[in-house]
Amino acid sequence: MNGQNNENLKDLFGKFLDPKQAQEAAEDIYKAKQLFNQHPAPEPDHSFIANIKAEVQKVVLRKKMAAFRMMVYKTAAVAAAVVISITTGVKLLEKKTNIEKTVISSTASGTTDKNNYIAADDNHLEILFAEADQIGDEITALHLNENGDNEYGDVTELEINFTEINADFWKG
Amino acid sequence: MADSNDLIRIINGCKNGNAECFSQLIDIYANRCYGYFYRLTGNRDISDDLLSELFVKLVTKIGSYRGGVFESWLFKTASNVFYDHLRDKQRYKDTLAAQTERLESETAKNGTRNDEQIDKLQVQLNNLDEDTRELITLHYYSQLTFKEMAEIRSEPIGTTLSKVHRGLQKLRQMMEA
Repeated sequence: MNGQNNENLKDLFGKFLDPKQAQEAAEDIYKAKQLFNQHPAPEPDHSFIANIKAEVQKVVLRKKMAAFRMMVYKTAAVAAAVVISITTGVKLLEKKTNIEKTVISSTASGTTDKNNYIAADDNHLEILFAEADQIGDEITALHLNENGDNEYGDVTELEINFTEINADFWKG
Repeated sequence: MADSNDLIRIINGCKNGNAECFSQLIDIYANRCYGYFYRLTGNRDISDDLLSELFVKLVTKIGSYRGGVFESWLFKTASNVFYDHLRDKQRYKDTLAAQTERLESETAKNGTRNDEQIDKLQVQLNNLDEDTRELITLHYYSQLTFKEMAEIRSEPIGTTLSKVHRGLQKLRQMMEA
């Protein structure tokens, strides 16, 4: 531990003084050290050292307790933060799911209405085509004079039918 | 005295909050630190207080030791404890003046007892200026090299060498007078 023992004072002083002065300065230091060796300072009482050790032990224990408490507080704070973020996350997720459900259901109901409308239109078209076919057949029959002597009455009846169909069609 | 491996183990133990390691550290350094404080204050009660304060402070500060010469770190802390004490109490000059007066009168009264020889060194140390006294005391009790002392004091090594040399010369002259 003692670097002083290995320190070459003559060389050290030699960097700042001439060799003779450096030698004298190094000797001065050694002699002054002897002065301290000859006049040692008093030592602390053993009982006092024991008291210091006991005090240090208490402080070490307090420091450990404080560190433990700090760790507990930190853990509790982290746990609370995790719980809060999870709760918030779950609530946000629930809210988002509800919104999506609403959007999906409204989209689904819209589609059904549209299909219903299409189906109704199809029915109307089928009826229209059937009536058009029937009229076509009747016209063909008239051209071929299949109905015999009552040709003008048939045409009139056909015109009436046309008028009715036309009116029905635009009524929907 | 602990070798460097033992010292590293003890210091690591202290960093981990091992009270037994602190006890070992106290055993190793208590006498030297006490001598340092006593030579600076000349008062056993104050030295007791400062020594106790130093080791209690080490418990909280040991984590700031990042390697290097442990004595440098320890005695820098001890020096801070001493100067903090003086600043806190604002009694540096009063203390020094009072103790010098007391020690001089006791020396004159009691003749040549061994204790008196110890006190004679203390009296003459107190006649040095504050900075030189601290430097000489630090040099002797910390056992640091001049280079390490210069680093602690943040001054060029030539300045430290010169101050210690002149201070010790003066001290010797006063002791021999």
